[in-house]
Amino acid sequence: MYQWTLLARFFRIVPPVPLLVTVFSAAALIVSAGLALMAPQATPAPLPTLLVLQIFAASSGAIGPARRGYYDALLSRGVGRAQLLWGHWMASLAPGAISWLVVAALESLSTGTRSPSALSSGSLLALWLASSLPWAGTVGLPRFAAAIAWLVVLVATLTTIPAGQSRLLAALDGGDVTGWAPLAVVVYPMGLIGRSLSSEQWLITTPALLVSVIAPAGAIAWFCRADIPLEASQ
Amino acid sequence: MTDLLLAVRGLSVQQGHRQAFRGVSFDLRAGQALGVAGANGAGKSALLRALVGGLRAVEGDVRINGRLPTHALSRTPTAYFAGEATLPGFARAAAWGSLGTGEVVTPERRRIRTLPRSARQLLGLRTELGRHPLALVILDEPWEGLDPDAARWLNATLEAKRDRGAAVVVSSRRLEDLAGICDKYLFLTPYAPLLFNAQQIDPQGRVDARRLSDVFDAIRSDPTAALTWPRAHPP
Repeated sequence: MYQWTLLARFFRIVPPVPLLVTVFSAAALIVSAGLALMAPQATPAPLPTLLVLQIFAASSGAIGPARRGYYDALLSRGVGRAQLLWGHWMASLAPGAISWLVVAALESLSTGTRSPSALSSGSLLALWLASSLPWAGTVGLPRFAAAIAWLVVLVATLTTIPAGQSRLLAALDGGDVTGWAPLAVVVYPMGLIGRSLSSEQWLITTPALLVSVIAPAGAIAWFCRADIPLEASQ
Repeated sequence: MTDLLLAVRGLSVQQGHRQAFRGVSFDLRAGQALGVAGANGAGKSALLRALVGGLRAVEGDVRINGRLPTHALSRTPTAYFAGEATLPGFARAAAWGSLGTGEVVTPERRRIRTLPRSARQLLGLRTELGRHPLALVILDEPWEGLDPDAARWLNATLEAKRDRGAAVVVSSRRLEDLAGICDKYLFLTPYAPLLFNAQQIDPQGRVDARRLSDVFDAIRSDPTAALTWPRAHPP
């Protein structure tokens, strides 16, 4: 218990999410609150922005700070590497997840609905994918690496495929498991926001869902075995 | 005789494709201090990092109270500090200081990177050494950047920790830092790691900086002396 408390204190002092991402998330919340007052139906409009911010927040990178020695204070106090990474993951996704829940609450209050679009199955899946895949992809890489890679793929897709956004959305709607629909879930997770997924759409998202569970486990296993030399001493 | 706290056997560590050091062996009991000396790049930092499990051994192993470091550190109160460069510069100094015991180490609320180097080094040392009890203290070049008052505080604190039963491993490239406070000295030379008891360097065990420097110069310039000295000067 002491070690979990220490982890919480540590990541409050040394947050893995850059201040700028937190500020942008707060700004999105303010916009959402403003919309709740002026145009209640548009309250969840900042969700795609929050999703992009979550992808950047989750791409926080663990090996860089570890090699700079930031985590020595935890590791020498007996915090296990797997435990450290769990704490790192939770601290990385917490600001975005909390913002998401606040938007859901605002939407619920402003429209009186009991099932806000921020909490639809598609929205929650999008938030999960944005929280897990970039985090796992960046554990052994510099900060923002996975987010930048995703951004490059998204821009390339939208610019090279005519009517790229429509094609990505159509792929999600089409129920084409063998085509590139499963990939569209990862490339364009914003397309999932507000949807209540049908059983066919769940089938399409299954590969991404599996990867999003396996990849963090693999990242934690890798980190537990990795050498952590000090960058300064090399 | 007190229990063996730290046992290192034939330890070799590689950093990337480079051999950091090879064949290091020593024992350290509670209340003993080991000084690790060597030129820049000799492998001092890598050795100390391997002791806390940050680097894996290519050969040999490290045991703390009979366990591998990754398993032992949760049971053995350990302080490890590798210098002010390892502190997160964007964190607030007072908040970082409270990580040690929860008590205030410094009232300074500025970000760590805005503090003078000596203050950063002192903050890191006080955060680690302020905890009680400590069974193992591992400090990499702790005198680096300290002003004379802070260096005196560090020497007194290390002696106090050792006298209260902590095993201390401390490295420095400046031999005068290590002289007098250690029971054993490990020289990381280009030929081999050489371990000396204080009595091998001075029969009375009163090792001063000059004596330590003479030994280091002798073994550094003459590979034969490096390999035969321990046998020629038995403890």
